Amino acid sequence: MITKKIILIGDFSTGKTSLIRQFVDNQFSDEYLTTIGVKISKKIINIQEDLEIQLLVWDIEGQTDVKAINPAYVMGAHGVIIVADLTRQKSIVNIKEHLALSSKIIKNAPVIIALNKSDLLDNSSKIETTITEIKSSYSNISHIYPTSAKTGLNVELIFQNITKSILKI
Amino acid sequence: MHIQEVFNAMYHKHHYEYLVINKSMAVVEFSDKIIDYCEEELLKTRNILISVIVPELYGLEQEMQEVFEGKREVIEIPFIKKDAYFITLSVQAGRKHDDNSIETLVILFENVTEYVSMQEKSVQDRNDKELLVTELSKKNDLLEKYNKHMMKLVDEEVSLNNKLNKEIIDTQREIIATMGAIGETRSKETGAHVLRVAEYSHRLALLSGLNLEEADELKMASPMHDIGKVGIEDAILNKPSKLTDDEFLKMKEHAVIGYNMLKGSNQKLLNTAAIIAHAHHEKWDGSGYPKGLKKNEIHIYGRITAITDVFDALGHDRVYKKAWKLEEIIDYLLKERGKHFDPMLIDLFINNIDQFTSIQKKFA
Repeated sequence: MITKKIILIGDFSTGKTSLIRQFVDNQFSDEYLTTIGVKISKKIINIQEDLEIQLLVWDIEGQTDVKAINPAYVMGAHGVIIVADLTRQKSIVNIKEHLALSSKIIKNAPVIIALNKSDLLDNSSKIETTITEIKSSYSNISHIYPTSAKTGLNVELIFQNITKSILKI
Repeated sequence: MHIQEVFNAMYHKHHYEYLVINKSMAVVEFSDKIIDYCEEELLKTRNILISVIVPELYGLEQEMQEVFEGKREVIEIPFIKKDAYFITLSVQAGRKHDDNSIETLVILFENVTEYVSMQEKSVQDRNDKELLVTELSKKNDLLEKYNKHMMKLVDEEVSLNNKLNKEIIDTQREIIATMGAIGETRSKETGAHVLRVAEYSHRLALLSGLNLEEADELKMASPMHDIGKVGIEDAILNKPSKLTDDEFLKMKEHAVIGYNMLKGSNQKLLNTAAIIAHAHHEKWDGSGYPKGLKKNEIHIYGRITAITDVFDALGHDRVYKKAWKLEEIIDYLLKERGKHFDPMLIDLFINNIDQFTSIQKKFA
């Protein structure tokens, strides 16, 4: 079976662990527990008929002002999901930093941006504006999606699409 | 002692477990307690690939090859959460051939759970604190927006209220002036008389030390000083000759009639107008009407209006007389100083007579 390493990076408390929990276990918890280091989850997904892929999803501790992401976690990744919190502008601004780190360590890996916590925004035009701004700022991003680990919005989709981008299908 | 037992003893002492792989990336040796971190069943499979046993190394084949070739010294992946443990993975050179080339790699597992547990609380606390600050900042922004919105609404409301108040005051002033003019018209006097009396009274009030609010109040209310004349029959009111004693008694009733018309209102302005209507014919020496009040018993508004009403009446033609000259009026006012009129107010009036003649010309 083909196995692929996907890493989730982003500022702390953007919902990386929650997205993975929603994807792997179909669960969501409001409780916020900081991820220390990295936790690896496995999930087998069907991309096409007769095409099963095993994903190794790396939940990497969130970057803070005082602690950067360890490059060793990023090494060897086949795809990158950068997670930002739609309600925290700083986490959106910091996408640039995460993109720079991943591009420096791994070449040609597809990148998807998940604008998480969309359930907390009642203003859909703000989401559209943010997506447009990010699209115009970064040309090497495969997709940008608003997501919600709480409602499950686009969670399955981002993992499906990052895998398709890795496999170039 | 077998070499593996030596390694086991050595790594156990340092709390390490290990796996050894060959150039084909297949597992060839491992320490006893490696089963704490890897699946035992898989370990039993011969020549199993390291990335199957340790999926954390999946994708790092290139980097591990570089270690074999001596291009990279070590690959370290710190703080991996593996079940209940935190481990650090370290890939480094193992056995070497005689030519110093690397034959195997050793993958070390170090249990760092204790260390990470110590870190965990402080990291959680720091992140929680930062989130709280962010949340507070968001709430503050929201509050500020809300405050701005509220301030705007309050400003609009205040502005509307001010406009309405102004409209009410203007309307009141207009009604009072009109009512005053009606009263004067009935006695064949002009509407301009009440406006001039209002202006004189305002000026004299300020000269006497009343504040602007009181002076404004007097100015607005004074046009109604003779409103009671609407209750006096025309034959008396417009009689060109001198009134008989009975007629004069009837005429004097206009002060009380006016007072009764205006009193009892909730409006301060109408109450002021009632005071003026009642008191403007009282005299300083007590010889006036309707109550024969003396000196300061007479309300200041009444004492002021008494002077300004007479001053304007003497300066203009009436059905029963021609307008007096200014000198004659001043002589009369001085003659009545302390009798009809408040002496202090008369002094202020005469000393500032230019101000009053200016008003007279302006509202002629």
